[in-house]
Amino acid sequence: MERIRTKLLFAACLLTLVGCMKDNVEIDEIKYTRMPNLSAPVFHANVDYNGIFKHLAKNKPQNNAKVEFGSDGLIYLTYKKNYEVSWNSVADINNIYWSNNQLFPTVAGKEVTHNITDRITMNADSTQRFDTIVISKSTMTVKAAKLDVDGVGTMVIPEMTKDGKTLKVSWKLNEGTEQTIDVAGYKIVPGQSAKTSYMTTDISLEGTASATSTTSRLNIEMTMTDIVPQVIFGYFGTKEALNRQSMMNISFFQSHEFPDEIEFTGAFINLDVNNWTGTPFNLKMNDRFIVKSNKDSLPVSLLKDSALYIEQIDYADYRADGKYDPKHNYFLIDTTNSNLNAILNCSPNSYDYTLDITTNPHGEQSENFLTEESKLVADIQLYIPFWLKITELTREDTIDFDLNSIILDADNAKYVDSITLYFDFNNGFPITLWSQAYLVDEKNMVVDSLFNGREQLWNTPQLDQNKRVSKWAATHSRVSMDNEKIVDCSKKDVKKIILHTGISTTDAPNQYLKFYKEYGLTMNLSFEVLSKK
Amino acid sequence: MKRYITSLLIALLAMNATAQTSLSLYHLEVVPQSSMLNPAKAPRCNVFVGMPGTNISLHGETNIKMSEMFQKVNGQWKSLTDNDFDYSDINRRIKKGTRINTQMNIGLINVGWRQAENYWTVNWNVRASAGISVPKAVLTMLDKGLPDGSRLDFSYLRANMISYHELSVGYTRAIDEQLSVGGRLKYLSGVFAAKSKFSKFDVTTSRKQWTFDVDGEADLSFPLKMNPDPNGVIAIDSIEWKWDEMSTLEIVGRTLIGLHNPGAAIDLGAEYKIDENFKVSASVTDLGFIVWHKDANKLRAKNKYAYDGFEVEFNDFFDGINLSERFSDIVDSVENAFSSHITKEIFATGVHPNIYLGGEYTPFKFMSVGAVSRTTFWGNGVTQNFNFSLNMKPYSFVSVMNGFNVDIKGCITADFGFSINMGPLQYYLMLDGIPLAYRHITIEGDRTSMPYNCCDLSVNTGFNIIIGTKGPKPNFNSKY
Repeated sequence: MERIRTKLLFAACLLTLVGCMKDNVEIDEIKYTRMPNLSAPVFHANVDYNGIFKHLAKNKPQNNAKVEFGSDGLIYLTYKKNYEVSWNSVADINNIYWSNNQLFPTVAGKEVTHNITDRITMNADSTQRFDTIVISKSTMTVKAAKLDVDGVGTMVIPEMTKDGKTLKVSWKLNEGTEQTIDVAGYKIVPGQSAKTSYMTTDISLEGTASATSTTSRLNIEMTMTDIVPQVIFGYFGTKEALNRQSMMNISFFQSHEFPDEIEFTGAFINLDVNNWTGTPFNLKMNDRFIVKSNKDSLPVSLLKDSALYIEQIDYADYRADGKYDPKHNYFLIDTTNSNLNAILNCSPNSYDYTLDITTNPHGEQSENFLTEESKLVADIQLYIPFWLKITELTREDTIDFDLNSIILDADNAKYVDSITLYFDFNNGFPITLWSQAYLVDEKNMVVDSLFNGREQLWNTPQLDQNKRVSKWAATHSRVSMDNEKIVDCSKKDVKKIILHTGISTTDAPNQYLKFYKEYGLTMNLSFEVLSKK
Repeated sequence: MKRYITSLLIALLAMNATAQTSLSLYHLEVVPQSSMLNPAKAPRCNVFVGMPGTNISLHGETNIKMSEMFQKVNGQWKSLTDNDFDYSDINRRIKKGTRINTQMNIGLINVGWRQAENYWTVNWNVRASAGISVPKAVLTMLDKGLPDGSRLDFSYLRANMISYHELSVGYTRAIDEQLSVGGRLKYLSGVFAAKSKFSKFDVTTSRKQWTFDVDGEADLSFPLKMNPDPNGVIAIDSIEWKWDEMSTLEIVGRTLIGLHNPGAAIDLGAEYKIDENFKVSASVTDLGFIVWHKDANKLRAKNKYAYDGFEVEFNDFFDGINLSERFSDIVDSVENAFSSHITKEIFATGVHPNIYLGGEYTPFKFMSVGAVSRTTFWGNGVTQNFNFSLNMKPYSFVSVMNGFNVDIKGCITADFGFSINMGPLQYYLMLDGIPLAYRHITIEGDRTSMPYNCCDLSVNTGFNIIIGTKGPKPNFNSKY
């Protein structure tokens, strides 16, 4: 029995060991030849004017172009600048600093009487004449040193009145004075002499000299500065109110060098001048477009060396609360009266100009007037509409496409049944686009092409009688590489795709088409790879 | 790179090397730990004391066979990544997906003693189990790719893990000469838990659009920092451990003691002697649950995401497209599909119950043959194993078990175990699921040996102090 037990034990253990004998199966190499089927969208795009102008803004952060739409929805790129001439650039009122410092004899204990009269000039520019000034804001200060006289001093400016009363300042002579007077609401009717509009100061001193006084020194100052007129009447002469050399960057053309195949039309410049003054002006604008970096300049035909007359408002239209309409002066420079079309198709970088505005170009013909709110605003607005034609504009792009890298190994090409790209376009631009894609090797030698000739990727949308897109055009294109082509391209080691595209505006040649804000384009790219089992 | 990917794949598929109590231990009553499988089986000694920390059992199972990973086509071996590999066999066998489950048990205190017809046991075990399921859609993706019009169901994707302390008192009683019954009451104290499931996880692919439709939830009891936004939404990748915010005492308390998550379980068993040579037995073990309170969070993701290509702006036609940036955006969007609402919610988990059915025939005093069936209820499915064994006790100090294990997936493996008594000291080792064959795999010159056809592996080992052993015959219900 002992033997049987021992034999059974060894037999059982042997059974386990035999069970663990190794199976000689070997695999020399793991191969990745299982090409997956794969179908996926790649990208989708929705192009509209927003995207286009976002692109413009991104490329030129300092882009000062704005997008506006015409009443019909036509898209405009606009560049605007404005210039303002305020009342104090027209009427030049002096800041008044008047003083008198003189000795006069006195007899101790006796009466003193001393009078002084002087003139203060109001017009800083001798060609100007002020007939009436109503002060809106200003203060007058009067300082007088004390005298050894017991009595009263007075200063009267007869040209300054308020509510029928003449401006009068009094003080005690033996105390002196320093007074500040709010002169808002005072009306000044200056006296007139040759090239001068003036006010008069009448000083009168009356009293009794002290017991020891033998002479006295009058020391008096009067200032009235920063005068803001509620209204001024008069004649403000022929004066340069504004002279500005300026430049308008046309970022649209700076960021995109438009080739000859793209031609714009319909651009115009608005010169919009609003005059809130009772003064006529002359506006001269010496302007030119600077073309690209070579600084070639192209003058604009209409404005060079000519002047525009800006009419003034009538006093009857003036309202003291400032709510009155300006005199509107409008000038249009467009393709009919200038060479703007030719200029814009040279892709100008900037619009340079000198703006010169002068008052009363024809001399004194009527009384001028100005108010506190009076100003002249000149707006210069360049409008470039998206109104253009494109004639067979071509573009070439190179896309990296290392086929053997994509399929991991050239040997795997035989397992790929097909690769198909799907292009789905819905075109709402009046543009047609064709394309051809060449598969090239490292040395740019063409191995094959994806399309049989030019493939029209964007079909022509339907236009109405106004040449406006009325129905978008859908295009569904498919580019397929079958196994034979894949194997061939793999063998020839295709590295890149050279993509040729060409676009043209739809419809007849030489037809300029307008681009409206509702135009757009949607595109989707997807692909499908099928493997070969 | 290829070799690493392949090695990883093979390693994952070969992760059937971990465990639960060995099935072949069921009839080896000379080892006291056999009573863990059926509390009606009293150990064949008067008193035993398990050496603390030495009684370890590990169990792992998967439903992937290494033999299916490679195919011989026209005399050449092909892998899953080869165009000639035929997936039909795998697809036919695997229904929902593949899974890997593991269990571990470490006995800290294991003592037992006989008292007339009664046998008492007291145990403190540390237990852990983990399982992941990979949906069949992953294999389908590898096989078919993502063609136009495909719909893949990833809802089988899930991960479960629990670890807990088990304090138990067992009682076995011989009712009469034929019948013994036993039971074990267990107090469970959870340490960590995670369980996840998706009621929906569909991915559809077509030329024009890919969609991700996700509806899933996960319960977690881990010391984690959750940083939800004001709406209670949390990105999965924003979850962080909060160990650095915890004191050493807290960490020790949380991991080694963990009395925050109470639970209970029960083991029940019976053994019936039909005649002198033949007996049958049955048991249910680990029938219970743990309620998780500490750091309990529920994450709920219910999102849809559609990808119809990345968006190209007009600028991009001039500036070019940064593909990696765009791809990263897409990944972010897909990740957002998994962003979850977080709520503080207690939850309960089961502890993977087992049902054992056994029979043993003892023709000689020193030898018996046995058969055992084990049904295990995992969080992600049910596994069924059969063990057939030849149990021998050729000498009074040695017991040996040889056998083989068959699981319902058709994996047949060898079992081997022994115990040896050196005075009162007993050492035992049980191995279930020993691969019957190995395969040499050479990848670009690197040679590895992997089990050929192995789905389960259990290892049980440990030391006991045994006092009062009774004769060689594994006769149940004998008076000791």
